[in-house]
Order: sequence, then C-alpha cells, then structure tokens
Amino acid sequence: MSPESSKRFRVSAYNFGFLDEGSKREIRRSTLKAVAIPGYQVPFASRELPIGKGWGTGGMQLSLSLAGSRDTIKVIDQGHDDSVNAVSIRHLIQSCTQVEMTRDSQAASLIQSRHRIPEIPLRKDQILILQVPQPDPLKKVESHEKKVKQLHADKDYKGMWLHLYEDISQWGDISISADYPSTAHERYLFAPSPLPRWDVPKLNHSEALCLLGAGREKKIYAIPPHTQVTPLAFDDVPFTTENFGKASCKNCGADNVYLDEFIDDETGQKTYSCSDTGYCHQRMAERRIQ
Amino acid sequence: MSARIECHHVTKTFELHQKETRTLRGCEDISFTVNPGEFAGITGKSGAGKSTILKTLYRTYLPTSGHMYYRSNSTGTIDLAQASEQEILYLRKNEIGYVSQFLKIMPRVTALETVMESLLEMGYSPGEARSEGSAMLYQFDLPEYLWDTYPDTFSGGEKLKLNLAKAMVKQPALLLLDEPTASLDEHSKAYVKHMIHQLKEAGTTMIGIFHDLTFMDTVVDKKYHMKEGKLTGTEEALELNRND
Amino acid sequence: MFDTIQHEPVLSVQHLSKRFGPGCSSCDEQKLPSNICAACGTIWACKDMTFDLFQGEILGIVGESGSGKSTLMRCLHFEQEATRGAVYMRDYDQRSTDTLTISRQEKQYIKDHVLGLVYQNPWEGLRMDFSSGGNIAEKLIAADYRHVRTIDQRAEELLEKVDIPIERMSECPRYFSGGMQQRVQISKALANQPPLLFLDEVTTGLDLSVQAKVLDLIRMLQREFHVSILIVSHDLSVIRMLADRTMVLKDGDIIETGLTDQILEDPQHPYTQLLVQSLI
Repeated sequence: MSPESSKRFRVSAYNFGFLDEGSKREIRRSTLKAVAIPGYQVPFASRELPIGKGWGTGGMQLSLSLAGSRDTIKVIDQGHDDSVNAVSIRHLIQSCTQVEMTRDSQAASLIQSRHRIPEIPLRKDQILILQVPQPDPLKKVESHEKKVKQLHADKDYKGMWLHLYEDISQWGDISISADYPSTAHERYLFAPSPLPRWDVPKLNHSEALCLLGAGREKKIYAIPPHTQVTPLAFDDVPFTTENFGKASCKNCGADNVYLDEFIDDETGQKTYSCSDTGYCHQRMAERRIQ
Repeated sequence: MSARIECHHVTKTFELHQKETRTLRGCEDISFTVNPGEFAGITGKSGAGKSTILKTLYRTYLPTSGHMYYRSNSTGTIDLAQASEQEILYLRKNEIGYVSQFLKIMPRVTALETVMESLLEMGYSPGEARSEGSAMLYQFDLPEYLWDTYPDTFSGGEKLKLNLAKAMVKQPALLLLDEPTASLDEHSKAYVKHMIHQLKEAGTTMIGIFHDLTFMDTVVDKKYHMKEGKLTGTEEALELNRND
Repeated sequence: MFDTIQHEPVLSVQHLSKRFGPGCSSCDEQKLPSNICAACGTIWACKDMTFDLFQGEILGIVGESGSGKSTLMRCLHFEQEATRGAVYMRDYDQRSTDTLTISRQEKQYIKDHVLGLVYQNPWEGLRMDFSSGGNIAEKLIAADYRHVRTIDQRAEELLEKVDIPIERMSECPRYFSGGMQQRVQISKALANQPPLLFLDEVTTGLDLSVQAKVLDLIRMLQREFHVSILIVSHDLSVIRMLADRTMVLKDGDIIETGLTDQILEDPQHPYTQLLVQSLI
C-alpha cells in the first residue's frame, strides 16, 4: 500500500451512509417520534462523524440515516452551495453513499441546509434537513436542562415572552434576527435553526417535511408538512421579516428574496446579491437562454 | 318577633388554662328584650359584667350558653349565639355597631378615612363616603384641621367623638355603647345626646353602659342594673323621657 | 359591593394533610400527640386541615415556626404535593373539581390566573435581574396579556400604587431596599387581579416603618380589588390589623378558628391563650 493511498478515505471500508445500520435505525426511530410530536425535541444517541460536533453533525446524521441510493441531495451553507462547509459535507455524503448530488433545489429529494430555506417553495416529495446549534429556545431564559424540560411539559413559556417583552422595552422592537422562537401547532416552542426571520413563515403549513438535528446537543425535532408554525408576537408588536427596501440582487435582479449585503471597502457602496446561490444561478441561466 | 333583640338566659364564663384551669364568671343567665328605637341602659359597679354583655352580643366573646335573637333588617331573625362568623361579619359591617371606651382604630389611617372606611365596607362609593363622612365629623364638631391627621394624637374626647362618628355614620340597627360619654365635655355630650335621639327616631336600637347616670337618664327608655354578673333589677324609664 | 352574607367559599380546603417521610401504620396523623411519629420519624406538617375562605375576606393564619403555616400555603400553591385532602376553588371549575388532582398544566393555569403568592423572601417571588416593570409584565404575560402597551400601562399603574417611582421602573429589584422589593412583589402578585392572594410572612424581617407601609398597602389593595386573602404570620399584631378571621395552628393542627377580635380577647384553646398573653 502506498503512503498516499493509506491517507485516502476508503469507501469500501464503511457501510452505506457511513453509519452502521443499527445507528441509522435508531436515528430514524427518533425521527419518526419527532414527526409524531411536532416541535418536540427527541433525544438521540448522536454518533461520531469524521467532522467535529458543532459543524453540522446533527444534519449529517439525519441525511445519512435517510439517504437511499435513489435520492438526490443538495447541501447548502448559509444559502451557498460552494462554501467550504457545504463542499466538505457534500463530499462526505457523496463518497459514502454514491448518490447523486445537485445544486438545484427543485431537483433534490433531500436538502441539508444551514441557516437558510431555498427561495423556491419546497414540495411534498422533498425533505428539508436543518443543522441546529442550539435546539432549545428556552436555554436563553433558563439554563438548567431539567427545568427547561419541565417548562416544555407545562407549556410554560412566559419566560420567553418576558424575554421578548424586555427586548421591546429596551430597544423598542424585538432584536432577535435569527432563530426566532416559534410554536408548532400551538404546543411546543421550538428554535427554527438559526434561520433568518425571512424563512420562518416558509415553515408554516409547508408542503415538505422539515427535520432539525442538533448533533452536539443530541436532539432531533421536526416540523411535519402542514404544521402550523407561529412566531411568538405581541398583539401590538407583530412579527415582521427582514425588509430590504428596494434593493435587488446585482447578479440576477431578484427583489423578493433574502439578500446578502456587501459593502465595498473603498467606495463604501452597498451592493446586494441573493443569499440562495442555487436560485440565483438558475435565474441567471434562464436569462441567458432568453 | 317584633323586638330588635331578645336575650334568653345568656351566660358567659371564661376558662383560663394556666398552671391549672380556672373558670371566671362574666355574666350569668341574662334575659332582656329591647325594641326598635329603644335604648336600654345598663348600670352597675365595674366588674359586674356590663361590658361582658356588650362584647358577647358583638361576639367578641363567645357565649357559653343561651340565645341572643336579633331581628336583622335583611336576613330576618338570627341567634347571634349560633350565627356563623360570616353572618357576624356581615352584620358588623352593615347593621350592628359597637363603640368602646377605648379607641381601636387602625394606625396610619386619618380621622376622615376612619369614618369613610365604615361606609366603604358597606358598599358606598368613595365619593359618597367622603361627603357623608365629612358631614358626620362636622356634626360632631371635630375641628376640620384634624380630619386629615392620625387619631393617635387626639385627646380622649376627640378620640371618642371619632369612635362615635365611625359607628353612627352607618345608622346601624343595633348600636352597643360602652361608656360613650366617658371623657366628653358638656358641649359634646349635648351633641351625643342629640345624635342618640336622632338614631332612635330612625329606629336604631341601643344598649349602653354608663357611669354618668345623669346623662343616661336623659336618653334611655329602660334601665338594667347588674351585680356580680346578674341582672338584678329593671326600671322602665319611659315616664322620665316622655317629659323631656 | 358585597351586600350579602358570603356562603360560597372562594377557597375550600378539606382534610388536607402533608407528610414528610414514609409514614407507617402507627402514624395515623389524627392521633399523634405532636407532629412527629415516634415510630417512623415521619413529620406531619399539616394534619387534616379543613377551612373555607370567603369572598373579600382576610383570613389570618398564626402559629409558631413548625406549626405548618408555610407548608399549608405551599400545598395550596402546588409547590408541595399534599399527601391527602382536597382543595376547591370558586374560580376553577366552580369548585366542582379537586384542584389537587388536576394535571400540572391545569395547576399552572390556576397559579397564573387565579392565585397570587407573595413570599417572605422577595428573591423567591421576583426575577432580580429583570426590570421591575418586567417582573410585573411576567405575571401579566402568564395571565395571557399579549399587548405590550397594555402591559406597560398596567405596570406603571401598579408601581405607582405601591409607591415605586416611575423612573425606577426599568431598574432591577436587586438594587432596591427590602421594603421596596416587597412592594414590587406584592404588585406583581396582584398584577392580573387574581381573586385569591396568599401572603406568607410578608412583613417579617422588615424594619418597623417599612412593615407599616407594606401593611397599609395590603389593606388598600384589599379594599380596592376585593381580593380574598390568606395571610400567614407569626406576628399577632399583623393579624390583628388585617384579618377578619383568624386560624391558629399548632403542630400541624388547626386548634382554633374565630373572628380575629374573639381570638384575641376570648381565646378558647390553652395554646391560643398562651399566644395572646405573650402579645401584651
């Protein structure tokens, strides 16, 4: 064996999807339970992966346990298909499953994402898998795990409401920009990954199943299709999404999408582009055809 | 029952549990009747059990035996000896007043507030309570600059006036008076007398203890004398007052 | 206006007992001479307590430490689980359901909507690192207030009522004096105007002048909101000033109940007589 080949990842040494079948089954069982109780965090035995916990291992385990040979998978990191993380995760999934990978959200059957939901609404034959760093919104207001569980059980969310109220008192508005606390079917309060506010309404009555996995925190939860997702909001301070004014994407011209802002260091000029690069590329390709 | 209050063989004894249990006599086998608008005076040496009767009627003391039938304006006849605490609290708020020789009022409540409170607990609005309460204090000749001060600095006479005002402002159906003129000057006594006559006309029944027998004779309709816990004699004083 | 005699209790406690320890065959709580079972060492903090609280009344509960006052209150506030007995509330299911048997969520509902509890120690009742306004908001939010401006206005109103300057509304109670903390705690407990208020030794440990202010406040609020109050105190002068009726506790037993002036002037039980004699 040459020194070079020993460093290589030898696919044949691993099971399909990297994890052994027993592990995948356990994860799928937890996933089923999560689907059965929308928004409820189901504990699971988070496995070791060749990437560090906290780098998307929750999402990875969901993807790897669900992937079958006929799936087509898309991996997104903050909207990008080509950031270092997205590329590494895509590479790992592909090398241990050999499934087809895509950048086109509409062509994917499984979409693993960090921080974003694709702009084009998902269909019922698609599954969205979100990587979650902190699955419990109540951790912001109560640090003891045991008490947090009790609060969920009692549906006692006044601590969170109070947090929002204090935010409004202090800043005149709710300052939470991502991971906006929401309830699933008016029961469990859940953290919608660190999605921007823009994407939270997409979860409401979504056609697609959304699974959320936190590898470090060892939790899986789900927003099944057609779940009512309600962001916490006061009657006189309603929930709002980001407002980009009249800005539009400098590349594809889209204006009703979530935009990333760029500031030119020299001129100080602000420019915007689509956060969802797959969507942006698709629009540009369509234009060229026209 | 046409009488306002009818006592049948009321006895009150106190059991004191100290090193050994001792039984003290309060009053014994007391029976009397007082009609609406009537004033009964009780005389006797101190320790004869006069105050015991009043406190037993007011239920500050729990009667040991006997019945105290009271004809309430709103609930009909009720035996005060058997009445529930809720009933007693209701009657105290609305129908039965008690004025003691000692002023028992709340600390840090002004004179006017003290009188107002009597009306507020009956359900008067704050506005009504204020105007009625002021009128009462005015009638009792309590200097206006005292209305908004705390009564603990008042003289004995001023305190007593306030106490009377607090009880009389309710126009109670039954008013128990324990030495209501003890430290009053002649002028105030005259006013108390005037008030008593007014209440009597309005139908208030009163039972009072007096040391000042001259004053008593000008207001009461009948007199009872007490000795060692027992009523020893009755004297209808109607004749006396008719000539007034 | 309560121009009627109150026959319907707001709170009805029946045969409530609370045991700390395993219990044994020989400790049938009714027959214990004290509140500790000699055979198994089990402590019976509350023994077969039965009483009613009526609309608009203040019921005082007196007794020395260890008599079961605080345990009783904590059982009624669901912080401790009663071993036996039943508790009915007018404002929950019209007294048709024993509140000790309902789910935790339902108990939480009662705590948020029907009850207010003021603890002896403000640290138990307040979030010390949230603003005073926020503390009041918490109780309002718990009682389903979802309108920020309404909450703000109510908090301002309440703090004004308890003499906390508006400019200190955004400060944390951590930096307040004990008396001020207690006033914030009381206004928080009353924020949503619950029909039932439990006060647990609320003036204990305060300076005399501050104590007086807190007592005045309770009296004022009681008259204004017509709330029914259960007040626990080992201090008879507090009870004398506030309570319409008084219940005397000893070793987990209710040994005497009566009109407060009757309890003070004509106490029946030897222990109550001793207690009253110690007052003067």
